[in-house]
Amino acid sequence: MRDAPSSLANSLFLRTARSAASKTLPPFVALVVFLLTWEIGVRWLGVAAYLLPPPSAILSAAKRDAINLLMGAWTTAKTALFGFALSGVLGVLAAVILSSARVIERAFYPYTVFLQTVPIVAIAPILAVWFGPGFLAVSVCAFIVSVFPVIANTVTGLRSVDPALKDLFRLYGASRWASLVKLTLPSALPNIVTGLRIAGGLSVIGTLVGELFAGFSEGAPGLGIVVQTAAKQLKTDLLFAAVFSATFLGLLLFGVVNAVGSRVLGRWHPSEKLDQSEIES
Amino acid sequence: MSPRETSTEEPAAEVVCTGVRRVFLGGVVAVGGATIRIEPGEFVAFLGPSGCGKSTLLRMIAGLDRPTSGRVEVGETDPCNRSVPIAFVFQDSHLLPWRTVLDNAALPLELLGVNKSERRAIAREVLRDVELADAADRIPAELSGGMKMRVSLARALVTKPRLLLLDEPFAALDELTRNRLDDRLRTLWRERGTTMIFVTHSITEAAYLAGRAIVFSKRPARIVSDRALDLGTDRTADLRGTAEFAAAVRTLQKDLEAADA
Amino acid sequence: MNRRTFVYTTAVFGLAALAGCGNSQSGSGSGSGDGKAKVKLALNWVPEPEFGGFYAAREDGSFAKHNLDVEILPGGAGVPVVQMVAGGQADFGISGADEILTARARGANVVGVFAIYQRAPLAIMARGDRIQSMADVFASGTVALEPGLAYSLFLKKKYGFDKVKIVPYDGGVARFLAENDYAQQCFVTSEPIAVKKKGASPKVFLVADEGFNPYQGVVIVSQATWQSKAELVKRFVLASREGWQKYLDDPSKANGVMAKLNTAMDAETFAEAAKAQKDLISTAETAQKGLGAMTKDRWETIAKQLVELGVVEKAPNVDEAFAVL
Repeated sequence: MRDAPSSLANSLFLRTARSAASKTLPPFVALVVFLLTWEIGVRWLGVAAYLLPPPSAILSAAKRDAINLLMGAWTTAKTALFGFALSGVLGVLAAVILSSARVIERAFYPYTVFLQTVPIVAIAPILAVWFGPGFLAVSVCAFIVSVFPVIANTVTGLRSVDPALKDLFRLYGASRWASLVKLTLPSALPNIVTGLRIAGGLSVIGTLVGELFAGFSEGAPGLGIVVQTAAKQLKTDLLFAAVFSATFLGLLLFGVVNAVGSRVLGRWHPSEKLDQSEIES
Repeated sequence: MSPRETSTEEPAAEVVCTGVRRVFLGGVVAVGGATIRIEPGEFVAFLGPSGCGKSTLLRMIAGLDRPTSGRVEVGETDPCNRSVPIAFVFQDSHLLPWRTVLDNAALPLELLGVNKSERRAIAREVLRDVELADAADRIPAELSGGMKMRVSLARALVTKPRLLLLDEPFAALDELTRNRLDDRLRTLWRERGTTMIFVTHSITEAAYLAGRAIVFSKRPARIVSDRALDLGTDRTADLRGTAEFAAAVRTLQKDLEAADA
Repeated sequence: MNRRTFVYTTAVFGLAALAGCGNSQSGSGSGSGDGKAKVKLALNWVPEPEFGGFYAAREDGSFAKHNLDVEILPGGAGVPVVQMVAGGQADFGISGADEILTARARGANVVGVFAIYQRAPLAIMARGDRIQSMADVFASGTVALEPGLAYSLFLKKKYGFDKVKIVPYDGGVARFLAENDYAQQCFVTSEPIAVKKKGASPKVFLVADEGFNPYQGVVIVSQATWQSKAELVKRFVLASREGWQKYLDDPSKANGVMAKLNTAMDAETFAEAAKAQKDLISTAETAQKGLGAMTKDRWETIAKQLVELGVVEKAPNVDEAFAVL
């Protein structure tokens, strides 16, 4: 009897470990197979390293230039994170204003699409003139590239509030502010999280592109500059290493948004409750 | 006893509809001239084919919609002024999924500006009335359909409304749960004496619950019949087997068939 | 070269695409209907006077005379010309001596066969009374440079970038016009003319005068083409030389043709640019050896400089990197 709790904890631990393994193992195996195929394929076909280096060469380039990559990743991460934060805050704010009145939405919503179609390569130099090249200008690039999905998803979320609940709030004479804070925004939260998930990856892309035109002025050059330098000097292995670093940054941001999102939403989302009922039974 | 009975305020409001018409944008007539007078403390069922406009009438009584012509008065005021506390129970529970049961039940008081400890105390009391005191700290995702509906009921009762409007509230539940909730609702009505209007398309439910049934025609809703149901005040499951109940059901059935013709 | 090889992130995709079709051939030297060899020439920028001689050779029949049917592929930002030529997507391409040696060090074997610019048109332009020399440029203010370029590394080594703010070169001149203490890399035949038209008076300093002078506008072929079709390459070089001579004598006709392909540049600018580059193309040496000439000394110098700058680890053998025809 006495060891029952520990054996329960033990089996719980095993179950958690097993479920974690069943989640992480397949993509890991897929990755290993992919890298092996790449390595062997490139060697077998004799593809020139300046066109497509094998993963082993990319890895040794990453080791050789580890300092550059890490410093670059840090610069890029800081900038992307700030641009992403701008997108989150201003995107949600814009969506709230847009959906505050039908007239405003009709008048302005179509123009937010401009943000999605604006050629960032054309805008970035102008941003550099306005803000001065560096952190701020590049963050604004990241913001411009990543804000649209936040606006679009949030607007969708704000629109899809349960009409019965809107009636309920009206019945008790709730103020606009109370309705927004207690009903509309929480209802839109799943959509906001979806928007932020997309914005996370886009903010990294926006930062990389922005760096080429408006970055570089202080601190270590970001990954965009590393990519460009590597391309210029035909260091294709370093180029791939930098691209993978950037991809990793994007994934990291996506993962963080995902984790925070499911933590916040999980409490009221039925699918997240399965684990607990399993334990109870 | 309970504080409500010591309240000097009239527990129930009367409802008067005079020639109420509602025409939607595009010319669809939802309600075509309804004149009804409901006395304080009455339990009235609105019966009619689905989509006939009875829910629209209920929304106008709640002050959530305005008649195109005619007048609605609750306790001698326009319901849109919200001077008489009215509560509304929807077809589904419509709880805020991110809030606990307790805070869901306390929501109306929160919106009316009651402070936290007071509104929670009142909400706890109402939850006890619907036998959900133990579930106060759970969230809606952890509740069964019947439990959610009881939270919804508690939320409606928390402001001590003088008029309670219910729009096919138990339609989505299984029969057993539904019957149980019907009994609970009857009890609450008897304890509180609140005026209640219950919209349904179930004849047996209407006959079991209400002291009076108003049958509406299909759209645009007009009153086909308005009958008192003299089935006594103590209603239990046994009632469903009696001849009087069967007769009442039959009568309403005929009215409804006429309405749908 | 500067913006001509300006690489955007798209270059990554370009590389990937090339990797996928690295073995496809552009059909070099395959006969066309009238017995002429069909070949492709990949430019590293849009049609501008720096390619005038090739358009002249096409318009005035020099290519035809040498039995060539040349398709000119205009380039743009990020076109990976070296990879295209090494991979066989184009028979001929335009690059620079520094890039050729770098490419060879990485295993992309291309050979330079004709050098348009004897003096590199690479330069820094600046404004303001303060600036009288290249050294003044790097004394303070902001300088826009493309990262990773051999000549920006050269300038960094020579002057140090500690006193200036280095920002990425964006391909335009907006900031140059908008800001005061601002200098940027340029191509003498292009940006200085553009900003003069806007009323600015830039001071232009050639990197060549500072001691870094790789051949620019170099026609390249792949090593394989050079080894198997030397005769075809020779014909191309001869025709190009004739075309360039014609262009130096009278650029108007070829300029007219290019102006139709590049509507962003007006006729006046075409004429001015053609005039500005003349001295960089036609020198005492070319008067003696012919246009496009190259010497081993110059190639060895640049190879040595690339090693010093750390662009390549080991100096490639320059004998294989170029061919005098």
